[in-house]
Amino acid sequence: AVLPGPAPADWVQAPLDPAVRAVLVGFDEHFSYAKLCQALRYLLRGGPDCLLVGTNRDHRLPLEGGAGIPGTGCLVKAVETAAQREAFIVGKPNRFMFDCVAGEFQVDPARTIMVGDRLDTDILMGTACGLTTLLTLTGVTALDEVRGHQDSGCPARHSLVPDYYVDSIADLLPALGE
Amino acid sequence: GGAGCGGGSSSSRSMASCRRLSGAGLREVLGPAQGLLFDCDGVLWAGERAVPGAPELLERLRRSGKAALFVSNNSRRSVAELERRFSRLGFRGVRAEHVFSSALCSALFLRQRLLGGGGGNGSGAGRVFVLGGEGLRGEVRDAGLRLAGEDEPAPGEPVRAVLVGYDDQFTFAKLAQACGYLRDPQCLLVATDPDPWHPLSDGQRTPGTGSLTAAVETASGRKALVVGKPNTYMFDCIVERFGVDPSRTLMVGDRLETDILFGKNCGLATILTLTGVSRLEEAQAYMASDSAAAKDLVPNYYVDSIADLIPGLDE
Repeated sequence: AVLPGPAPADWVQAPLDPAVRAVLVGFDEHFSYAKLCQALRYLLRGGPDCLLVGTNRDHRLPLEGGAGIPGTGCLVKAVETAAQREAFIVGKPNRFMFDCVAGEFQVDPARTIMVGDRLDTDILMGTACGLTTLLTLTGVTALDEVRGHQDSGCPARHSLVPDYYVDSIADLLPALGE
Repeated sequence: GGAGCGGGSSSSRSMASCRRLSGAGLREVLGPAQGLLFDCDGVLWAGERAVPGAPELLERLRRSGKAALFVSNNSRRSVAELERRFSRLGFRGVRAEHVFSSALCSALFLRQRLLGGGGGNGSGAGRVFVLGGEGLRGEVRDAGLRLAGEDEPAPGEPVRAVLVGYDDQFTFAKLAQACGYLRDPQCLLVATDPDPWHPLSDGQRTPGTGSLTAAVETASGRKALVVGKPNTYMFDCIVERFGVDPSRTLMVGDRLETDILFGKNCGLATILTLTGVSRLEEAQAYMASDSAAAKDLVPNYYVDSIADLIPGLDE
């Protein structure tokens, strides 16, 4: 919807859609204060009857050369902070997506490997769902980080330690010979 | 319990007890006070309307020889604009030098950190990337700093600080730009204030600097240095300019998590006014809580409105 006027005082006069019952925060390269404002209005109007859902908490999307752009997690945090409430996060490490896959495809966790580059999403979800976990080092995680969790005395951090790692998923090819 | 009652302010008092200030108590508390620090939004005014009796209170303070200074987390306006606002809303005699906004204090903080506090001509000190409006940008310029995105950068003028303020033109692109600058570990991340939202006159809320700062912190993996209340930097600015004695100064505010905690952190006795954000029930809930942190959010006293302080002053 087009917001009247240039300033928040105008935006909060715009009528709210009476049918809205959830605010969903995903990756939005057009995120703006105006949208944040509208999200807050719906959440305040609905209270617990208006869901606050985030697709994921990734804080960074890596690009080539070590650069990155802000991830969805940043936008989720902005909405959570303004609304002073916590979002339900659908994405990893929440097991919701695994349950979707397992429901569709007869997946046996004991015979399934989760392959990922991120400890606090991919590996953690894999551990939580009873999958074997395989870390690949072509993404955000370096081995030092894993050692750190491994050597810590903290059980929660141990859930971040993968069963196995490879430098790249290409390293799996020899195991899949003729 | 008798903690925090009567006898004016002592800086190392035990737990505050949120007593209504009235009658003889008013005179006991206001009598010894040399000055009062006031938050602005929700205390002196709400939107474009002065709180009834607030201008008279300031006038009576002046006549009683007590100082009135102003400390606001609102980073939208320059102190010059705030001086005009005071006047427009009917408050007499408030000058820009009496007003400490988070915009001003953030600029002073950055000046100290980037220029060594001496002013100088800014060359080689680096630039500041500001997420905020013209009021905030003006204060940063007035402090002798150069803003990223304005004029051609000179060689050796990297961005040395990202300043997050109230920015109703905040976008994903600006967030990405801020993160780019923050990849340099030498680049400071500073926020004007932690406020998650601000009330609007019709009961709605608008997102505050705190929500934008959370986005920048999450994207950059850094924690911001927060200038505004409840942190004490703004009090340091006040002391530097006016030499205030905390044991003879009262903090008056409407938001427990910022104003009252600020008072506690600076060693000031605190008065909550109920014309703004926080409800009395919230203060009482903090008082009943087992958590030590919650106790720090309990005001020593409360009033329905700052107009209720008038009878505590001499005729």
